Amino acid sequence: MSANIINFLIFPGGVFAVLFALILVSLERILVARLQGRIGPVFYQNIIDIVKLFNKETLIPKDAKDFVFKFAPLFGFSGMLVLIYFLPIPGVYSGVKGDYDLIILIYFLALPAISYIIGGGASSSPYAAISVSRELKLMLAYESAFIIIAITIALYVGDGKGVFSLKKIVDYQLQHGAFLFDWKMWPAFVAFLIVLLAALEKPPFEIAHHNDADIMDGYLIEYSGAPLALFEITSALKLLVLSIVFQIFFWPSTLSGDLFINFLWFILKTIILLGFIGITHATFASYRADQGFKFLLKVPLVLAIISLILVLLSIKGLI
Amino acid sequence: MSGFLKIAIRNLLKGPVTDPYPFGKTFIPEKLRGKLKVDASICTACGTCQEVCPSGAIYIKKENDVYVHTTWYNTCCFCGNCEFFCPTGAIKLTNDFHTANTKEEKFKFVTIAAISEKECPVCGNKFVPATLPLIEKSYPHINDEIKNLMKLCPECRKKAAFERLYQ
Amino acid sequence: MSIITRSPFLFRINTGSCNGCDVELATTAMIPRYDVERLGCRYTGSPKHADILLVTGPITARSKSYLVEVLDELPNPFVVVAVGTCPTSCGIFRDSYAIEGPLDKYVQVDVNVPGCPPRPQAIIDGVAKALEIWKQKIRNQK
Repeated sequence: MSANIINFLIFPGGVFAVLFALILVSLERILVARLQGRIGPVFYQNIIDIVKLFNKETLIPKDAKDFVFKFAPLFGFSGMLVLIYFLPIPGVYSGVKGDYDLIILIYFLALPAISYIIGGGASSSPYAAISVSRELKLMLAYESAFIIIAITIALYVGDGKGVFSLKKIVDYQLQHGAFLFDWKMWPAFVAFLIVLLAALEKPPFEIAHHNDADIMDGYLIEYSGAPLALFEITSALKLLVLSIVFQIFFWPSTLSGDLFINFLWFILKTIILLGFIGITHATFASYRADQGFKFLLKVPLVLAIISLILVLLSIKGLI
Repeated sequence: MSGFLKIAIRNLLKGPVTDPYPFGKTFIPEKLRGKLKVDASICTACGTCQEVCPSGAIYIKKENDVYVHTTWYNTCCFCGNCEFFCPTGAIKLTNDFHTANTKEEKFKFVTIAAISEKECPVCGNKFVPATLPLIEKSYPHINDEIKNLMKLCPECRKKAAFERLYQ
Repeated sequence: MSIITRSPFLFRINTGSCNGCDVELATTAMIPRYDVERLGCRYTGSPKHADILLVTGPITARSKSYLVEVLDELPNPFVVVAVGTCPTSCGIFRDSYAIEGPLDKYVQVDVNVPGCPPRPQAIIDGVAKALEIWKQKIRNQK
């Protein structure tokens, strides 16, 4: 029982997850700055930002739904914290044993977006309203591709029967080799990277917020102080969660039985994924809203379906 | 996109090119129009700069025997008109760009030059004498006679010139 | 608590500026040579996130109401910086029928950065001065 509480509050969830996620976001800012030839902030910049935001005054708009406006951030934040407690980290943390945690993952991954939608909707700003509708469409666009990728993996692992246990997916890959090096899963891998960028709303999918020329800060526009800090932590935790999901789905390989070396390997893999996100952030411009949705509805969905068909064919023994 | 990627990777390898300004040195162009420098020994307090300043930053006021030439930077637009029109070349724009000032300093952020009047050796009236750079512009050859006349006040100079004519 | 002064969020508002000062502000933010992100600054899209407000332009009659609205939306403690000669004292537009400036009429301006436009280094100087004032304001609040 006490081990569970430590797992939830200190490692890998809770304190460690929040600090590590914030440092990851700062590292991404540094990488983008370096790719643009700038120096960039210090590696703990986002932690300072959060501390400062908690010390600031919180303003609530006159027309906002007070209660919803204040507590919407908690929704996504708690969802992400629970998710990190649930997910296994290959070689480091075994996660909560359950046979259907892939479905829980799919549900909980939508929580931050839903909390943005609730919070933005309650803030009674036209910018937030536009941003919320975009966020909703964006979520619909990438979520379908993500679900097909998850089903593909579940079918592949169960050899025709769906296996929805993340633990089993990790174990299967540890025995048979990571999906990253399996050609049948490559279309799904590319689709997953696109979905990752869309879910994190990094360029080229910086459509719903931080889109200064278009809708300013989107659903965050009316937020200040502590709720804003919670939103920032939520988006940072989402980055961490998605990088763990990436490692579970495609690259759960471990180096040795030693926990510490595996932990360093986990951090290295996270930073490699972060490097990809940083490079796309620095080299791509953002899509216009309609272009972004069209792209998301076409490319990742088709790639994921190609992968699904390949996997089904291999299960039937045709490839 | 590949072009962008190439530039990005090159930036990563070459390292940042950021100016270390608040902590280190920075590059300042020679011809940057920054704060003024007024040479009070050349200035004749003619008021051309005050007339020509589009934003009214320059103000010349007489206090007792001294003309006070004040430039308030918080309304100066650093156009350089004063330097261009100054007949004596007393006003020069330096390349000092440090213009940030706090609320307390707002009305104290000025350059002051005091142009003092001199006494005429003949009649004792106070006046601002013409200075050498101004005379150099007007007369091709300057001899001692002109230099002596410079020291006299306008009234005495008229008298001296007429006396020289009818001698 | 002095560490939190290393994360100022900047918000800029153009109150009828000719865009010269805005270009210089964009320069300080984006050009690799004058990177303000290394000081911890970040440009935000909403005044409600901001700690330092940068105002450019003489306050024109049309933009006045928007400026007043933005000033109301800033959470305490905040610092106001007037960038350029126009918000500081209206400069060459003084006494025009279309100008409602200077900025002092509406809010206590903590730092003035005159210039037409000011040099990016001068703006960085101004932000550094604003940070010191912000630190004092945080201390006074507690």
